[in-house]
Amino acid sequence: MDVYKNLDWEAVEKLKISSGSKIVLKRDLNFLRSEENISVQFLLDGEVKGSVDCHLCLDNKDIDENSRNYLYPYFTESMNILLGRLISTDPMLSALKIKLSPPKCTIYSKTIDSRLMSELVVYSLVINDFDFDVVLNLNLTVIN
Amino acid sequence: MKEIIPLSELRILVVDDSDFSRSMILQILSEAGCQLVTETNSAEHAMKLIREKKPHIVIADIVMPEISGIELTTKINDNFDNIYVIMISSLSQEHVVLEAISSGASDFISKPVQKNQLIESIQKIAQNISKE
Repeated sequence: MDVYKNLDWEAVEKLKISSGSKIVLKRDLNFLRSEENISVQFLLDGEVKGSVDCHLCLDNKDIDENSRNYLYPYFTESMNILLGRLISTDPMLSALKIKLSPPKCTIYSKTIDSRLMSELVVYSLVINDFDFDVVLNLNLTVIN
Repeated sequence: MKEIIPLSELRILVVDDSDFSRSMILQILSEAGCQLVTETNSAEHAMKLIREKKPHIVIADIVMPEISGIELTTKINDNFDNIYVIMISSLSQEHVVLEAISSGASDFISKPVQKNQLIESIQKIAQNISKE
């Protein structure tokens, strides 16, 4: 079964991560392209197998080295919390036994073009006055 | 009548591979007046710290590389007496909570960890710990 088509994305519209930071589901359908980003991948195992790649878009953001060093673990844990919440609240996934792997991080940018990607969803990671696009690319299958 | 240990005298070990999550928990504990807090990013190092620091409470994430929080909790219960484990996880499905409790955890808290929930859990456990 295709997980992406059956997921209830509305299950997690907004999620507070800490005071001053939250993740918000983006509903606009504008295409998104990123050349500067960092990524984290989570593997799922159990009754759902596959991966979720999460990309934090840093294009046109004026961020110094210190802030980047702070941002990276923040983003990684935020994605862990978001995925955990999605799995635990989505009507289909919450009934399945799923193991989530520790995050696997990549600091090298790659070109992200939403027109060329399928099975994606876009969130905003809001940290104080900063607002970052976050692209989730799902490649998940329910194992019968 | 036994005297319940105050938060300032509770020895707490925080085990989470996420730097961000650990710092959030440490901040909550500090604000609550916990003064004897140790931290590590791995379950393997946690076992060493448990022998050295003899914590009353271990706060451990479930999803960690190499040794999971569930395995750590089982090891703690097999090797030590009177150490209480609070498990934390981004996953909060029923089977995850049941697995955590079955492994010997005293409580389960889903991420993001809320201050009130964590302190309430610690205070509840502290009622079983006598002042030394």
